[in-house]
Amino acid sequence: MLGKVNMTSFSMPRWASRSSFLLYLIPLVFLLIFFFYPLVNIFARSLNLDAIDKFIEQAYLGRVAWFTFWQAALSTILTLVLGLPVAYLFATFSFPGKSLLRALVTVPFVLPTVVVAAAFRALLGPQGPVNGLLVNIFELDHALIRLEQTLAIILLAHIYYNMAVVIRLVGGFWANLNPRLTEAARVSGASPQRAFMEVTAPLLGPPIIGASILIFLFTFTSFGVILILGGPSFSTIETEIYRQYVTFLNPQVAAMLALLQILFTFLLMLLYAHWQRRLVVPLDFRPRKSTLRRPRKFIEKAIVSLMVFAICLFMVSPLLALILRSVTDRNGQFTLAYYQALSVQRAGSIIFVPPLIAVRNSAVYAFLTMLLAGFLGVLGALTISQRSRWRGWLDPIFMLPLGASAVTLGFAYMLSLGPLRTSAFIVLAAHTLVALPFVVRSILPVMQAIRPSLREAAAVMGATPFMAWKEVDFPIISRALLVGAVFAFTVSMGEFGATSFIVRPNSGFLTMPIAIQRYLSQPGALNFGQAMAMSAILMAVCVFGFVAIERVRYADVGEF
Amino acid sequence: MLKVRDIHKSFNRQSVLRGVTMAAQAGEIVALLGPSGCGKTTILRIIAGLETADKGELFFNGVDLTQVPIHKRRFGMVFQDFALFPHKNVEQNVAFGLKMLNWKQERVNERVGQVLRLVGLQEFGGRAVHELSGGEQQRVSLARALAPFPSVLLLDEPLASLDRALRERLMNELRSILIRAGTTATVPTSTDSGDRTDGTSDAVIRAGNVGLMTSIYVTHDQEEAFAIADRIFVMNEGRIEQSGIPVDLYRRPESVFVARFLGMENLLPAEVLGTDPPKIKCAVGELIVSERDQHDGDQITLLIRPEAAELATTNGADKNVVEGQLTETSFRGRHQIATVQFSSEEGPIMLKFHFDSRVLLPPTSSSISLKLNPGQMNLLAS
Repeated sequence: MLGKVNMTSFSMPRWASRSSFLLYLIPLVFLLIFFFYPLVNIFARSLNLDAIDKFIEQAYLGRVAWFTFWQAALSTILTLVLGLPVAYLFATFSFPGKSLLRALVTVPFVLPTVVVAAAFRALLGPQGPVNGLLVNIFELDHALIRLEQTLAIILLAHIYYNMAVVIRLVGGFWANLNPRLTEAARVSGASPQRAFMEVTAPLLGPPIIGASILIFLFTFTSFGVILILGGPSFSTIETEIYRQYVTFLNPQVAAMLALLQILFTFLLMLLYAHWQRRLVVPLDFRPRKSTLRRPRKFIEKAIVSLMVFAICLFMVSPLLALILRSVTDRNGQFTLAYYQALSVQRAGSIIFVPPLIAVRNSAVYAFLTMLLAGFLGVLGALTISQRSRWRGWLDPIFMLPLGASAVTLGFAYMLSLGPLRTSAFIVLAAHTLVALPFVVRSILPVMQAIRPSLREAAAVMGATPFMAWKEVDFPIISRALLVGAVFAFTVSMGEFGATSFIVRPNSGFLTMPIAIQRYLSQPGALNFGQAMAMSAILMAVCVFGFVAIERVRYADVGEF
Repeated sequence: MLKVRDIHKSFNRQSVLRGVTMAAQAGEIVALLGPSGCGKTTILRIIAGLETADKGELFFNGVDLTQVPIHKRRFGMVFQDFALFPHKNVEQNVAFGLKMLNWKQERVNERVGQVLRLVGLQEFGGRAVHELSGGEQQRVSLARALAPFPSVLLLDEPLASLDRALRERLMNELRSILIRAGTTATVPTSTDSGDRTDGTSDAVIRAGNVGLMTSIYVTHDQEEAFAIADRIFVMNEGRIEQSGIPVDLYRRPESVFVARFLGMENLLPAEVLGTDPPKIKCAVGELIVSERDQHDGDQITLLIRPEAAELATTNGADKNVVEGQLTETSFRGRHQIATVQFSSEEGPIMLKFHFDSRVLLPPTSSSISLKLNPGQMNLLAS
């Protein structure tokens, strides 16, 4: 759960404390070069009068900011409205297949935005299965649902993405609330509705607000979904930074927008950190198992079954549509042509390398990211858990990249890193930076939860400090590290925002998400089919990674 | 008067209550005493309305409670983990029930002050509940339950989560608080409903309420039950095993279970030899007892209380004098416990006796003659 961080200090064995001081500096130096320096550069670039003039002139950008804000607000509200009943379902009832369902609603969270966008186009597009079904039933001569490039499909994708946040945060909290509290209210004369309003609702306030801030942050900085599903008619700050820089070659305006974005996301991060502290106020918790019950009455059973069915349908149908359409040709016949085409460099293709190269590149980047982020993450976690007066600062510093939008990051690299900026290494650096907070979050709580007495027990039994570390700490941390590494792998596989700045379609180190976006932005059945095929492969890799994480991680450690 | 008749309840096909019948008079403090898993908390929750019985009757002052929803019963409950609302401060917690009755603010404040004084927490109104110690939380929880003048107060192991020293102190205090709250503090029904704004009437439930609060106290601790209750119901495996006032219960346990549960370990199979004078035969010899309602030849269980023995001053010819070997003594301050081994045909038998600290016991391993007081021995059905 949130903020469940044991405050026992983790101290390094003495053999390491002095000589490895320089080692601790490595992750900090990495953050300095690849995060703080580029961001500060944006400040420097945007804070000149010329840029501010240019910025103010464009009332259009005001509309962009306003749209960014209200689409995020609307997405947040809709996700809450749909997610809270599901959170209640998870918090109250036990039913067969529940853990599977819980995993299912979490899957979108590890899927790349590009894949989700592609899946929604597959499901709801004019040739998609939903329209196909409707055309057949009502004997229409055209597709009934036209959601492409509408706000509705953007909102749907955002809800799809963020349901997990509500369910895991609010549902987890809800399930742990002491049922005696409601009973105490009932015996004291409160009707069931009154007891809910007086006791349950106020207690659920902090987790609901925490989840809302997170969802708002995610949808405010949403990039791939808006770009692919919204098309040119929808523009958020995030996509506008991209267009101003890449299409209109207007780095000044892009820098102003990026500054706006940075300020806003950090403000949200602060807010979230504030609420996270509220969440660890000693509340009355009890073990989850005792509070769950099976649905009893017929009406309860019916509602639970209906909800479970609806959730499955909503969660699975876009992914099934994606797979279906990657193996179906225009006439509805089974085909593997799209997969076969991935290995061919077509004349006149929008991509100048055989698409399979992108698959290889993504795999290589993901592997290297895993190594680099794993290495930096362990050092980072060790640095944070040192007993020092910097401790209060170090944790947020390592978490900050989580809040920075990927597009801002990619753009900042373009501005700051000179000739390096389009090199293959920068892609790796960007991926590592995005993955680093996940790795640290996976390891740190486990590291801090190791009781010093374990190490002391080893020492009493004759282990040298190094032996104690090797026998006690390392085996415990290594499992968490594995989780962090898989996280890094899937994050790198799906990274789109930052990479889209660094990697050009004609570049030799193209990645899968970039290729998918390119295919989707072009007309033609083969382009669409290849996008589906590549998305299906990417999805499979990420789902596999997710299953691995769920298998290996310690219960409830390393969430957000 | 609260009446519980033949209540049955199962969870997941496992029978928890198998026909519980009990009653509590207005103003009475009743304890439900039993080991964990005996169903005592379940019966309490059924009275509160938090569980429904599979079968059985539940009446309060002649009203069938099974038809009354939880929040209309106007009972109070103190939970084992206190269940204080973490988002409300002490005052707001205590005021909760009054708020549910739509009392006016001034009267709420007055009553909250009153009950906080009663539990000795008048200074704590503005505190957050997580700042309180366990004992203080327990008092707030009690104050919250008492505030709306409940006609029945249900207490579910209210002292179980506190440490031993605190428990002993609160035990004594709790009884006096319950008695004071139950007799002096209850307001007349008419002024009560005059202040209410919602117009609903609970008059049926209150009809027979003569202003006395009945308390039902669930515990697994015999000392607690003895200290607090007017009457005790001992429960075992979903049934009431025995009931009575504390002194009677202690003096005359009627079953092996009750005797064991009250901490009496000296139990021996025995046979009744005669009724005038009542005489039995057991492994340590033939003994005169004080109970008469037995028949010759009955197979019974003899309970020898730990206080039954005194050192025999005269020779072994005296009645009820038994000889054994002192194997262990344990000094406990005001008393000392002697373990004495007797030899019998079925092998050695160990019995434990309490002596006053002033009694000079022989050294361990030496033989010891004890005179057993007939009034301190009971015959239990086997």
